[in-house]
Amino acid sequence: MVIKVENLIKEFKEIRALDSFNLELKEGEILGLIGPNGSGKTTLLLCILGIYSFDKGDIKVLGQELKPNSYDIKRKIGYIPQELALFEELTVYENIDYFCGLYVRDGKKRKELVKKAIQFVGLEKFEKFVPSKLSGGLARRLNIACGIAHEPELIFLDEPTVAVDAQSRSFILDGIKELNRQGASIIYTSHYLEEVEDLCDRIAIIDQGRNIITGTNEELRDSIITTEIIKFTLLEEKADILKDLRNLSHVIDVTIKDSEYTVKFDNPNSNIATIVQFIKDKGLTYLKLYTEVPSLNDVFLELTGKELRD
Amino acid sequence: MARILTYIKYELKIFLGNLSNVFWMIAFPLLLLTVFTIAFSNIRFREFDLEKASIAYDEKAFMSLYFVEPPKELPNIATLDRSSIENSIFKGQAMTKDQALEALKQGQIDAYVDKDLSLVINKNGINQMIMDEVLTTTKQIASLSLPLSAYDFNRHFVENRDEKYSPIDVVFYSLFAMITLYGAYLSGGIGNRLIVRGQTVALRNSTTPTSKTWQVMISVAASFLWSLFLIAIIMIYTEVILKQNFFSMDFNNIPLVLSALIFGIAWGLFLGTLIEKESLQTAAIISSLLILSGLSGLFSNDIPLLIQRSFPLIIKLNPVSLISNELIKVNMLGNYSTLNASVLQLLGYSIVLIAISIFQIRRKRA
Repeated sequence: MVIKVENLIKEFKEIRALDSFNLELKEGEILGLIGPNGSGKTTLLLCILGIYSFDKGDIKVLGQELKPNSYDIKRKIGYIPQELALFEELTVYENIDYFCGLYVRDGKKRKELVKKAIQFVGLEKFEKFVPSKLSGGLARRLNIACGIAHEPELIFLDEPTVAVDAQSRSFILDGIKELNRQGASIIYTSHYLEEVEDLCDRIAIIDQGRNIITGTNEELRDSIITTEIIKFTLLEEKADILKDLRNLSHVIDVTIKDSEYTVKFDNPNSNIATIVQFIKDKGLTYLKLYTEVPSLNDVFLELTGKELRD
Repeated sequence: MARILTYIKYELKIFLGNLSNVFWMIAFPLLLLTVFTIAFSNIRFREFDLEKASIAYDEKAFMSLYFVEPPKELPNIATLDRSSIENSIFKGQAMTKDQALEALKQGQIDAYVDKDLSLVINKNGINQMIMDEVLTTTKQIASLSLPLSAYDFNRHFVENRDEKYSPIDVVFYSLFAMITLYGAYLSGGIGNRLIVRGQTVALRNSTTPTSKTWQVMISVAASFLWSLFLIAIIMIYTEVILKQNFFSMDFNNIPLVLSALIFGIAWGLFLGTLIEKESLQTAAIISSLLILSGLSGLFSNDIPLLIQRSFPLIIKLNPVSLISNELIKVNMLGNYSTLNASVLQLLGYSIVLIAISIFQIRRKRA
């Protein structure tokens, strides 16, 4: 086990930021942490990294407790913070060299690693640029390069694609997959569900400082009652449709937003037929009708009672 | 070593890339010096009529009489060197303390020496400063049981003073003392880069396997080198461009200036670890340096005198006073009697401040 967090409690004055939190990161996996702002994701990372002290519980990183002077463990860790952590006065090369040098003393080796990192994030043409001259996406790539140049075994990425254009985001996600292929174990936090679904081997849903559930994408979907979601719009409206829909068998929830009905079922079979028959029976005509499997957002919604971006 | 030099280079780039640092550390002191020079140059180079100062003394303070005109009765006159007495620095007369205080108030005398060889003065000036030095040296010689005649006070305290010294120089030396502490502007930012309390760079630094003490010492070394460069620029500007002859080619300036630079950096580091907000850090550094310099005479050479009367300990503890007084003694009076003690005091302050700061930086965990 690369990371093992047991019954972690962290309080800020009277606010409990982490509540009996448990988590495991296996070797070679990418673990995604999803949760709304203030759910405790960053606090958890900073506790694991030994930057925050905690009130109760136990954290083991690479088999040991991480203390401020656990330099042997820290040498194997790379951290990419949510905000850009760069020196505006230094160039791209110098920024990477500065942080890499805090891990690697050998100048020759460091030079090779810095060059490799620049290549890895595709900033070869911008080596002599200062961060303020880079676009948001390129600055994010530099932020990542500063955290991975020393080739860590364990990488923490805290929302690395926030405010990044689509091209850079895709570049960054491909890079993370490559780091994982090269053997790094990764903890990845994000707001973007599709990113987490695409990237992570397992996902932990965090809300109000608690780990609601951890599992693979399939395991999370299987953990909720909703099995199918059908959405449709009608040519004309009729009273009591919502009420009648709710009375259909296996329907667990019905909502309407912008004239679109969303019906959730707890039964995986024959739901479309049920809805089509219902519309026909009411003498109505549908304009659009389609089915969806529950998304990560639906999982989150059902488990926490709120939208991920609340 | 190459790694250390690389980091010092980066630290210097980071410092210099900050326009606020460049202004406060280069433009501001040069501007101040220029303004002070323009404002005071007429006063500085005016011909002074430096008559012998009039000193009153307690009859029991016979040791000090060595430096005044021959008294009527001197208990150990036989052991004294008559020529020194004839070429005395001050005019003297015996008085009781009450009489002397009244005479001081009336401006009839410049200073009074009581039986413990303590100096009571009513205003600050070169004569008072020399008298103070003479008394300090006298006490030191007496404590070493050396004969007073072994020391040429006239040569040490009086030689060329008419040509070299102006009372307004106290203001300039306070200004120089303040500038030697400007490394504080650089070291003030170290805390925020290493203590996790807002800056993301601190977060990243804290996760690395390099000790914070090492990082602090690199930043301190870079601040020191930059401060050294700055003070060299200031000295060259003062001597060559402004042609103000404040600094003599005296190697005793070196330990003094170096210890002052170290203290300035330690002071900035200390304030930077205590205060989180960058704007407040700068405000605290500016205001603390101005206050300490003001107490040492930056705004008026009468201020140290007022403090000396009521709170003499402040003068002894104030680092800017220490530095400015020693600069005057070394460069104007050629007197090194308290130099070592002052240098040690400044280094002592620095060690304590740096140790507290490192403790704070290492200790801070959210």
